[in-house]
Amino acid sequence: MKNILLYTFIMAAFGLQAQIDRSVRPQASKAPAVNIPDSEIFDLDNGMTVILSKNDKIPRVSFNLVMGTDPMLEGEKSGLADFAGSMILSGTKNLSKDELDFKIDYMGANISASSSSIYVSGLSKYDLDLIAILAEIVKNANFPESEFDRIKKQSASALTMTKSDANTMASNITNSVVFGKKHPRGESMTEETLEAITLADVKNYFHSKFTPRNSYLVVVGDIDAARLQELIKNTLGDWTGKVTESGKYVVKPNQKGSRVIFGKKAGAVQSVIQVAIPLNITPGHPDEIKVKLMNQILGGGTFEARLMQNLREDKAYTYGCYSGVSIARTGSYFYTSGSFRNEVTDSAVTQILSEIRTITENPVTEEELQLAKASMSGSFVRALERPQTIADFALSIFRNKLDKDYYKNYLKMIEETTISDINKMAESYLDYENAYIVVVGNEKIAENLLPFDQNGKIEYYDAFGNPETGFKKADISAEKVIENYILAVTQSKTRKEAEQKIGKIKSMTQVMTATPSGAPVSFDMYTYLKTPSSEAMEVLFNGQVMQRTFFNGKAGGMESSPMAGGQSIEYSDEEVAEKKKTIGLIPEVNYSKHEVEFKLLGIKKEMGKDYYVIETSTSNSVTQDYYSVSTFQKERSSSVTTMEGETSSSSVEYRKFNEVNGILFPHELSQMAGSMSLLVEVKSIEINKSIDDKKFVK
Amino acid sequence: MRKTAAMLLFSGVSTLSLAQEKEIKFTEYDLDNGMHVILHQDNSNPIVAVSIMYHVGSKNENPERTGFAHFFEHLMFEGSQNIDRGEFSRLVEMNGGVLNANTSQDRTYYYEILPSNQLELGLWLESERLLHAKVDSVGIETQREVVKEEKRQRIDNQPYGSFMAKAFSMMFQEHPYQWTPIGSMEHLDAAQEEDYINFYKTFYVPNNATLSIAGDISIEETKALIEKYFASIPSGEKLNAYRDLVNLPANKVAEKYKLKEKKIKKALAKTPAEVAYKKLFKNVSETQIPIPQPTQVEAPLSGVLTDTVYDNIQLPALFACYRMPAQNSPDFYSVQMMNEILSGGSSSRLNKSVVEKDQLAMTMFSFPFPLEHPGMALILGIANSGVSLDKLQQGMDKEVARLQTELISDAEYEKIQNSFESNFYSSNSTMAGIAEALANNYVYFGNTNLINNELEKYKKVTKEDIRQAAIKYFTPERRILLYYLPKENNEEEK
Repeated sequence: MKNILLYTFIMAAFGLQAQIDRSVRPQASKAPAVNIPDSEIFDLDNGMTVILSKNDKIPRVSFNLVMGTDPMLEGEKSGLADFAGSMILSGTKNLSKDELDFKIDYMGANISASSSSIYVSGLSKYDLDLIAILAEIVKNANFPESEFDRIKKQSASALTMTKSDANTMASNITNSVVFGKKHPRGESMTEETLEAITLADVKNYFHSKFTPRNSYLVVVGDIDAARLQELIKNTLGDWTGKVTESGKYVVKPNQKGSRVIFGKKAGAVQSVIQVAIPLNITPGHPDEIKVKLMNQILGGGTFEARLMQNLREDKAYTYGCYSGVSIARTGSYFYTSGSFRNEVTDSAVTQILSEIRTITENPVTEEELQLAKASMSGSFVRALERPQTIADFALSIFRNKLDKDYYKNYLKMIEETTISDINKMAESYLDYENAYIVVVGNEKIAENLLPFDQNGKIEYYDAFGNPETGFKKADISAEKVIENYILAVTQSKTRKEAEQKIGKIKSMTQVMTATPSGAPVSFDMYTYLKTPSSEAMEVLFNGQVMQRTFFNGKAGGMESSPMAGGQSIEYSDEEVAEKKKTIGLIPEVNYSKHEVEFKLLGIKKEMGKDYYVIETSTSNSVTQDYYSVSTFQKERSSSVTTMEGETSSSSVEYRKFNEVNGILFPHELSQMAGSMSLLVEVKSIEINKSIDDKKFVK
Repeated sequence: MRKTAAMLLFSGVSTLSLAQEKEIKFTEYDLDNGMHVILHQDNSNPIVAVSIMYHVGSKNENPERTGFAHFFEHLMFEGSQNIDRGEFSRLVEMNGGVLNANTSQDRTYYYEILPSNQLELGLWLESERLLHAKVDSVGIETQREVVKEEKRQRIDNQPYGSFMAKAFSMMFQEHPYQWTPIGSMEHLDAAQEEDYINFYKTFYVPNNATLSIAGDISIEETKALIEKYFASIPSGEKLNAYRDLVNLPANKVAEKYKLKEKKIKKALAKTPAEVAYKKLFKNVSETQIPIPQPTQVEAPLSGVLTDTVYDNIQLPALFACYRMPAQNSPDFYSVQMMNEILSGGSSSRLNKSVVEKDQLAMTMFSFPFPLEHPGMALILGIANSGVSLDKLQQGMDKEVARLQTELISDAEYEKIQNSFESNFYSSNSTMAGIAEALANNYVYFGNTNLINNELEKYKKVTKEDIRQAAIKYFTPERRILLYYLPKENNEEEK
């Protein structure tokens, strides 16, 4: 008894006046339980799935009607789906656009439509009106011509604005290079594709895409299942439609080596940098959460993430630098983002790449992992505050075919991830040596980024993610360019004179030495040409033939010595056919005879000189020849070849033109293939010397 | 079946219009040191939003130090007596929370959203920020550059990004609203140690702070924690003395407070500063010091002021700016409703007439800045390709003039009432949203319960009030017109 009294006294005396020790950090109290309520789900006869997430905390309700198909390739009508989406709310058979807009605004409701969904939300006292409007639109949208014209005009203005919006430009370019132009996500609307879209296209799109088959109606808010079913019955119950086809498209193969792609924004004081790496992963993949945790540590939105700490808190290069992963059914990629002042743009790229490399090479710390876990779990729990989240989970389970408890196990999956998991993710997914480095900014700083490109060449893209051609419109026709070239190279006044000169040449033997750049050695090259259509080449090292190609008009191929790989390849029928078209001293002479298709791309400046650029293509390669605007001489040529899904590019520059038998031959060539470069000097050209026919066969 | 749907559609609004009063309950009180506390309990999801609103913004700045309030906000994440540099955000993120802050012309707002079992962490962090903030030169230099990048990203590199600074500088000659929160980078470069100390001592004090907490809490436990972390913070000169004791060497403290250095050292050796200061500064006043607020009254605009800005843009734009009443004046509700008629939603007048019918603009937008002192509203339009700004201006003026001559229709009036009701529920659907709204209502309106009766204020505004607001405030004879035009390529290198 006494003791208890004494104890109470001490507590009273000291407890009341106890000083708080502010250096002691508070401990968390017991972790609260997280409860993810189940959504109610029911199917309708017309093929719709209804997902209801009931929540009566506030008197609002939303209806989101989502189509079940993935995007389609749009090609020359790129942007059609988005265009159609922005026209869906243009009125219906029974409601003009003005009436529709007023009805929505009258209820204080919000409505929006996209290429594959219509969303309406408002006070729950208007639930019937809200869903009735949704049904009216989806059944009776009527796409009036006047709205088509207006939205077209508005889209044109929006495209114009894009050219001054560095972030949109960067995203367009990133999507284009990551997905490629044969994938819907790589496509963007341009001024030309907008022009190509017709009202019929829009209607067609809507009617084939918006159908109840495989669609979802996601309902969130203050409404119960019985009332919802009643409302649906009276509004969407009689909506019918066919199954739609889903998009088919090719995912671009990964590139080899990093590329720098630059978008020019006049007067920019900052550069938007996006470094992107394609990821081979789909939603719900067992690695997904681990990859997201890895991203969290690297740059996923917290101040503590490595990119933020390095580029903002340490270097002050930026207001914010982040990374993210976009994981979707249609394709996935990792990306970093941020804006950096002009002077530090290249340093920022260095730091970003170095952070990506570091996480693939060294284990993350336990503290970092704990932080990433806490942060990801925290954001998961915060998101649960929105009733929409619960419904989004249910929809994602359907659309991505996830396990039904996927989100209930989410926190557990985060918790179970280990340091070695993170390592494995970084190592196997972040292929930093093959990254796309997309920069949109002031042209003045573009050259500073050269060291980051595998080929030491900056590619310029426009605001909509298409390579900048840099072509000016040519003042003459393609035929005229070819004609003038033939006259120039043969130093003739007329085509007839030129053909006579060429006709006198029955064979040619050319001796050259080739020196790879940076190499102390050189080797010899011989090329042989014989009318009507034989051609051969030999590469010799120390007098030994290392490699030869041969062609006699009917068959041909390539051989290499055992020292140089010991290959032996014969041309396919297709290759033989194409070889025939391009053979000869001056192939251009025979373009019309051989029905070679060529087109003039325009005038392009290279190294300060203007050239007419003529493009020819075969089944697996595209070649561009550069003819000087002032002399018509062919001074450059570049080609891109695709073999078994891999592309390789090569180019050649012709210099030192000297006359041999009345024809101007280049006596120095600079060749580039991939990252290899060769300087070729012509030692001699002999005309009409006899050549052993063995040179032209195997 | 089809008939039913169509009938429903045209029957107007359904009759299911139950009164949906869902009151947001809260508890509020003052601590002895002057700090105001607001608590809202909602146990449906295990998170809590902890926030402090300091009633200091760019309008409290020294005209030679513009941008300081916002810069200071950045520094307030640098650390404290008990939190190392860089640790502030780590502690929050380590524990599954997020944090941020923002600065306006009128106030600086800090918040954390945490798992609810980390409430105490949030309180401790905010108490450290109020009591013990500490910055070193590395932090200052870093944040200076970060703020400059923020300005480049949000303003310099944004199309039309300079409009706000431009418009406010033309609108105000006397009042500190003439500069915007981002301020001048030269001023930030010029800031001295003295500036930091004075700003902290003047504005970061309990009687200038409102602590607003919403979420999965128990009111009683939260009150006890607030007692522990905040009620123990002194006020007035005593708070300054305590901060000096923590930050200055003993000899300086002795000099300043006319004490013996030995006595100070002895006291600190025996007990921590937070105990020692009570005895040492027994005679230092705890009377709260009033917070200085600007008193300049701006004369009405004398006429139409115009300026043309050549920017890195593709489409020309027009900004028309008008002087507005303070946000707590009854007129401001009329202005907001008028604004809703002009540009709220697709059926709004500017959208229907200028964007859709006449197709003069790609987009039109109008916005009254909600400011504590008389401020500004702007109407802006981005011209469609090939449309001159003169044409656009005529189209815009025509709609404003209509509001000045004709009353809005009953249907439009009902529409905007519904719209405010709907917005009210969506903005108060998150804990962070509620915490901020409660603090705003207390700080600016002196009426925390406005959260529950604000809709009444809108209901009281009549159609004639709206017309009068249009006449009184949107005068074509007294406004600022800013024309944004694309920079020619040849000017770019200048």
